[in-house]
Amino acid sequence: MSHADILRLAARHRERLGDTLHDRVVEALYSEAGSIADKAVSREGQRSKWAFDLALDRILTSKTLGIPAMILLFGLAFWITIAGANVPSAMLGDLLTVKVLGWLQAMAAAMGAPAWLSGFLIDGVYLSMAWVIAVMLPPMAIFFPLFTLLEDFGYLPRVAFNLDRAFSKAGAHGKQALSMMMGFGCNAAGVVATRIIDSPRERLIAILTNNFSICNGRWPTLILVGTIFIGATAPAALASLVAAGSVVLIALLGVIFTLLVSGALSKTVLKGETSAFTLELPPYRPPRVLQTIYTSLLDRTMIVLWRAIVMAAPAGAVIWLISNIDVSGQSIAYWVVSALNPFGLLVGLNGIILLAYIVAIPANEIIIPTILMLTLNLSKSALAQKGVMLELEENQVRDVLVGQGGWTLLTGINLMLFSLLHNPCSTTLLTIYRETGSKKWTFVAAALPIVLGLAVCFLTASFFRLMGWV
Amino acid sequence: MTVDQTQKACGGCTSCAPGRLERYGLATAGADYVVALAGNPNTGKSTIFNALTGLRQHVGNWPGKTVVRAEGGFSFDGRRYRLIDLPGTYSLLSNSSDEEVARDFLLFGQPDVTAIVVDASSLERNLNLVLQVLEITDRAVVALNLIDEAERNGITVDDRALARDLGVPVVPMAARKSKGIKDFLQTLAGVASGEVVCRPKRVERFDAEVERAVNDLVRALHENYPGLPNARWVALRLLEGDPSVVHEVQNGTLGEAAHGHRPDAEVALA
Amino acid sequence: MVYISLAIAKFISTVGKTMQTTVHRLSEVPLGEPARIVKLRLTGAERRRLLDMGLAPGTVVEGRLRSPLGDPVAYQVRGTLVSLRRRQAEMIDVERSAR
Repeated sequence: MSHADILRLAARHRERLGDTLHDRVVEALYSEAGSIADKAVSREGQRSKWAFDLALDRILTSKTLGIPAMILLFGLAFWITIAGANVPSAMLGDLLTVKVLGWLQAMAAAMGAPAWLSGFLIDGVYLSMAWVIAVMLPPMAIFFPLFTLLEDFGYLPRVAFNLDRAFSKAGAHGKQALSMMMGFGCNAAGVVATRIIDSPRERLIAILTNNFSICNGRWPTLILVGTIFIGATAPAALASLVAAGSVVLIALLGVIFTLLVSGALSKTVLKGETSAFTLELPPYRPPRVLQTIYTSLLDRTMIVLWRAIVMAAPAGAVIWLISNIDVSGQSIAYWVVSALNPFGLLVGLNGIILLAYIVAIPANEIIIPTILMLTLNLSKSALAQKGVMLELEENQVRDVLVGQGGWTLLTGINLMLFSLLHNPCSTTLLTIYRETGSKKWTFVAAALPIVLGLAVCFLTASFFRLMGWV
Repeated sequence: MTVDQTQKACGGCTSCAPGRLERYGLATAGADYVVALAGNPNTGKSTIFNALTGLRQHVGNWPGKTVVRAEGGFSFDGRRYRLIDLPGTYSLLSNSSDEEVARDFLLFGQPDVTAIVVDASSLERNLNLVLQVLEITDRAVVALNLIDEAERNGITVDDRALARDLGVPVVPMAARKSKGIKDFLQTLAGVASGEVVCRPKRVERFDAEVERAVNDLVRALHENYPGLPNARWVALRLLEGDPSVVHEVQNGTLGEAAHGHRPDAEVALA
Repeated sequence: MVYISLAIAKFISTVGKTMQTTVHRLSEVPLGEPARIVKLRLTGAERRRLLDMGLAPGTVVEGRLRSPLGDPVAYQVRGTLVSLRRRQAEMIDVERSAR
């Protein structure tokens, strides 16, 4: 019998059996599985476990408590991260950007290295790396283990279950809720998490909108600006509450944008079918706390260090160079800022902010230090050292930004908005390229948030101007 | 020799090196045997993978976390193994990419032994996949994982009865607590080397019409590919018009694919 | 003549309705009430996915949880909890236990 004959035979049988073949095979398998299982399994007291799981689920997915519980749990995770990271960040910052920096500078002086070289390597490259490590390591080391513990416990599918309706109305997949949550830790991780979505179309939507989840690197910026500009508008007793509230508001805005943009994408360029959503809600399992914390900690530390070396170091080099290389009597930075300023002011930001966002494409964490440094340099302040990123007290930051940078409440608000709505960092873009294999979509992933960001800032600025507040 | 008899015979012997596990992480070259790790999502497959290879695949308690094929190496009792962690799937009959990856590897990759990881607390659903895998290969071991959880919830599984019904060894395990790993490795070694022979249960309760069609095709397949070990499975797939199986038959490569033993082969997985 | 045809039509539809009451859609079954699957009216990949998860004809399922936003609903199927959207539950015909 030839191969073709076999295929023909199969085709003939297939026709005769009709569409029900698959069903019949599955039914036979299930009935077999059922009878084997019945003989081998005996249950006693299974009730208690199922009862506990069910009771917990009734609370976590209930109409009244489900969503508040979710907000509470994640809010708690964020709060623990922020509060817990404060002291370690300050300590690391002190160690790396003051002590070690001092040693390096002393060493360079002792070796008689030329000022430009030591400046470039230490003040530019090293300092940038040190910043990223000090700012990023503690929060990542706390948030990711927390998130993983929630994952291990089995809570995350319940989140997808709770939010599915919102996402399916937006033409997206319920599991996008999960990659969105992951993005609050790190957008690159969020993009990788989209692998749980089978349909390529829905996966792409999840990837393109992941940036609207505010990653750990952007929180410090938001918190600082929120405290200085928004919290300051409230009476002292409520200041930190208002500041926190403004950050939460931005985060929620991010979720809203995720849904809106997903909806827009699924109705225009990424039209298609909503795929089946059959999600299994696994039983709750006690997480292996120590093991998880250890593995998670190790992984995240490696990633932060890698990022500091590969992404932050070059950024630091560029920043130092543009501040210290003079053309026609002024630094390159000066010329770029001057060129960008008109546009910047139009959209309610300024030239320095725009330049900072360009050089900080690799790493969101260095936005504020870069802005401070540029502001001080360009206003020829005594505090400034060319190309050196600094650590300042909150009050000092306010003085610098408002007094010398000319920031207003509008600038503060717009910075927070732009922080939400600008291009993904280079690590994330790289990850997007790797996951999609498409230059086109990576470009869209970069361009879409920027365009939105500039548009939203412009609208806000126009509104403020219309109201005569600025 | 049945599983029981082999274990009884070897139990008291000390001439082989007492089972020593060496984890090789990503190094998989020069392996003596290829082991495929299959199972439903969320059964602790990745935990077992990590335990054997020393790698740190991410483990999460929600379905669909392991989405790329992962490979690792280890050696046990002096023999080297290449472990392929297949994506978690509920069945091998649908056409999602995860399932195709798993199915193609089992059918064409010819692992020396396939371990099917099963959640002791939801045996019935997990058996669906087990039975399907047993249609494809007769060298399999069932890892009855998460036994600790089942016990905690008052579920007892009679692994002996299960092994009798399925015709393959069943090893109770609690991989999270490192329990049962040694037994598991010994059983894998036994099946891979052929010391332990399995007589896997083949589903025989298809209705008469389907059975007739399958037998007809099986006869035809045996004519062209004598000794094809999983003719029934191939016949079922042909009846459903599965593209990759049809492709193999068209090219006449089904025979090669069915008999090769290629521990180091680069099997292209999607 | 028209009135007679209308009356006949009404009679037929009433009889028809009575004969259909034994088969329901899963989406109509309230939470906590077990139902046996009779037929899956979905096709293609979605159908296979449901079958894989254990929702095959003959299986008994029971709705357990409803999402706070109203949809989807989690059903107990062969010892696991599977969540289905309303759209999917509408395409599953079930037999409700006698009441």
